[in-house]
Amino acid sequence: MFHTIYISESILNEVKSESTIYWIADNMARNRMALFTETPEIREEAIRIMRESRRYPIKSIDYPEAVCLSIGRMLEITVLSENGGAYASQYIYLKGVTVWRAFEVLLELYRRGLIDKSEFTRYQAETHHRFSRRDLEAIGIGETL
Amino acid sequence: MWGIMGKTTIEELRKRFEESREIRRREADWDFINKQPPRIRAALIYYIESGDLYVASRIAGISMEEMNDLRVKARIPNTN
Repeated sequence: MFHTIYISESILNEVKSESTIYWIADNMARNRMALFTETPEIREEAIRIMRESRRYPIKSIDYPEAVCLSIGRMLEITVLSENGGAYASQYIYLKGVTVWRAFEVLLELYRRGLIDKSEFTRYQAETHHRFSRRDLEAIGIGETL
Repeated sequence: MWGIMGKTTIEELRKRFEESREIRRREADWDFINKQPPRIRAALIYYIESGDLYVASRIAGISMEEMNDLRVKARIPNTN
């Protein structure tokens, strides 16, 4: 679905568990993931996005997500984030940026026939995540979960 | 992007946020939360109110990944 997953240094620094670090390192070694070093331009744009987000009465954005949105905007690539502010930004003030949550990733896999509906339930159980009923019903699977 | 949102107005996004916050408040394990040291307790309550893992982790003085583990232990669903 994605050729390469970029991970910014500020996000990588938040990972502590051995299993997750090994998983990322292994995928970097296989060229499936790549480290994105934050340039001054990226940081400048991230700070601008953070300030812009404060102008609206919705969830604002903090630095790690702002960096990802900045990279997404500059490279025109999809941003993967569970942050509600990042998700909302694409509809309000970052209209050229696409943000996918886990829901959109699973949805794309489901539409491609790579997973079945049970994966939505499994993901929620394993991560203690709750997809909104509205999202599930909008794609016609809410009533089956 | 899939068209999964009927409306994408600020009002609609605020409504979704309020619904998510109610779910976090309702399902959190308050006994667990109230037994935590002050910084951790404050961070968990902040997360319940905001859904913001990054700032919550800074309040607690731990990484985002560690904060997420704590969120799961406190039975606070990640909703957005």
